[in-house]
Amino acid sequence: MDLNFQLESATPTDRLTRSHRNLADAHIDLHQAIDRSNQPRSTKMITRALAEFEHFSHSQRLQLLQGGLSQTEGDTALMEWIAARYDHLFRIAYDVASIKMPTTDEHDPFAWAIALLIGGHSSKWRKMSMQRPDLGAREKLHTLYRSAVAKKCDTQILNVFVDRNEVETSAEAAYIRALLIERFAGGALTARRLEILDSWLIASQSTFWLAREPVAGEPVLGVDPTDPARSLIPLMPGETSRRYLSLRPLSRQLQRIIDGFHRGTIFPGWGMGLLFRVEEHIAVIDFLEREIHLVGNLAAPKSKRINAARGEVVTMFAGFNDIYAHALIMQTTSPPIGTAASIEQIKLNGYGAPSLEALVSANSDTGNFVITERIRSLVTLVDFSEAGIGLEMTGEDAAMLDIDHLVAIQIHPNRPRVIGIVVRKANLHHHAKTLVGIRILARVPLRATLEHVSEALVRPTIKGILICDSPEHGFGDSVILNDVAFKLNPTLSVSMADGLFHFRLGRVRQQGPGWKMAAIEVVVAR
Amino acid sequence: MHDQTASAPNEKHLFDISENIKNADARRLRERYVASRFPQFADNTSQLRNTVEILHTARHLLDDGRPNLAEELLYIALQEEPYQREAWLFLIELAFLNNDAARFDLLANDFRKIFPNGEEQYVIEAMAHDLNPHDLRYRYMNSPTPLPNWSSHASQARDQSSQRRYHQALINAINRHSAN
Repeated sequence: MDLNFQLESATPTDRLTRSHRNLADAHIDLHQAIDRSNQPRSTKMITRALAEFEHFSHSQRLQLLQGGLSQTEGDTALMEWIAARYDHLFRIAYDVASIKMPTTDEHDPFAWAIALLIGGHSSKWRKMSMQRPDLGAREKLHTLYRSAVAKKCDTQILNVFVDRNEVETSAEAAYIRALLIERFAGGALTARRLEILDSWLIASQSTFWLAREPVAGEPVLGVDPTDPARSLIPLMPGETSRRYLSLRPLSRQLQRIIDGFHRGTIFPGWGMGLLFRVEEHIAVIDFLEREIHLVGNLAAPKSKRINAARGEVVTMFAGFNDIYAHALIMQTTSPPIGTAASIEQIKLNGYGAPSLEALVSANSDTGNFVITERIRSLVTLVDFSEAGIGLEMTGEDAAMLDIDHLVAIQIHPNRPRVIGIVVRKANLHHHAKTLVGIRILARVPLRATLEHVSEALVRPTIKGILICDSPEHGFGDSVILNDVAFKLNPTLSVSMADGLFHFRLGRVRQQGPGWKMAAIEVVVAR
Repeated sequence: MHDQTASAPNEKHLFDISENIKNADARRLRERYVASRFPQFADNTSQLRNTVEILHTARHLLDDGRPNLAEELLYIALQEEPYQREAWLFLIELAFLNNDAARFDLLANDFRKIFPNGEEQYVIEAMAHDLNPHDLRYRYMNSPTPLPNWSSHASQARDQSSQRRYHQALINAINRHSAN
């Protein structure tokens, strides 16, 4: 790849300065200056270059990660530049690890550990900058690991620095961390959450190892270091692999992280994750708990695919207030009184993504809805099952959505809108489109006006979306509210054709920016 | 909710985090964590001393298929106030049902320290024998039959008629909309 071209193509931006160009040039010089007859010396050079780059980019990386949705073109260019730097450093480190010394003793075990460590950084920043994975990178990781095993330096414990923090690793541990990052960077974590998870993995590396046999009864991922097409994958019962990674150590580490929060400490006590909100850490805990559970219960049947036309254009609404105000107009707890024409009263001046302003408004926890010009988006359906929906949209549309956002989708005209939560975002390989995965919360959510139960003459009302779950005892049913309404912790009443019900809010089952889905606990039924 | 049979509070036990809780920053972080992990306990950590509410939520979490979260809530509550007898018993029975002998042993020992005269000791020892028949400490015990039901699910423990009526009304409303 022409790195100078990469730099130039990142414009227009005021984020990339002469210093950035100089640093990229320094990496080109470093690549040429590598001493191909002296691996230890070259390893020191790449280690120093990594430390310098981390020092140079630290505040910029932090600023980008704290930026969230409000990214400018300059931010995007800077993210791509950082990913390109890690890519380049990985290529240099790979070359250094490939240097053949006259005898095995003359090899430097750091060469493999550093190369695999940078390989993990590279995967992570490619994902963070919404770029496609480098298809050759996994093969390089496998090759490095096999080569470390051949040189018998795969398990040697070494101390390396990550953002100036000293951590223990080995070639094998760094390989596992890189593969785990590749697996977890599939789109289910935002950039901030991926950074938190990575700091956990880096700090826990010494607890990871690969086994030749799976441990019975433990959640296990398999990897074949000779197969560039495969990374860490869950194994069906009876399926075999060349190497096995038990997730039990990760599970135990997760428990330690939770215990740490109980004591008021954040693991690992360093890194950018320290500066992110506790909610972000909890989202990572939830994610890992779910992943480990899924890997351990792989034999569970998958949800049934639903026969909906692939490629069909469907309508999507985003944010609690927009969904309540527009997507569910016809879906109320009272018998329907509107007509199809009432849907057309929705003010639409064009299709495409909701503007940032609209999204802020829709996700706002103020409960105030502000009419905006773009309320719904037309997106393409790529997959539809009982549990989830896959949507394809332009990168511009997808940039306005993030993990945990609430969305409503109309699959068929004149059929109820499905409500769900964004659980995955990933760039598609074949063109500049993004795949957004939605987990369905309800296939027929009902819009309800809820009333506070009190002795007051005037009882305030709040907006709620009622969700019905399958168990007949009814303890699976929920209501979605905005954050402000939830914080009041009210006893509420809802009127339906079959009765009047008072209920209180129970445990929170799902939550996202500005909204919570709480269990309904009925206290009075009349 | 303090218990009359509780021992002196200076015992060292599984949930001793008093040193950390005295640190204001640690306390703040812990409270933010609890508020975010269990939003219904967000406003006041005194809610974590409300045993009835804690057990209520833990039972519902079992209903939701989140036993780990139920356990965590009970642990947090006991860290805040260790003299919540029913929370201990809930955890002890969960460890028994999960066939987790090591955890059961830890919990049973701590429970014994805090409630040395607890009337549940006999049942706990019978459960310990059932989990580990070779443990000589419990060789004279018989298996508990039936189980004490300290950790029943909400759907098993409560009057379900109101909740069922609401659920049916919701289904009827959904069917009306789906038909239109």
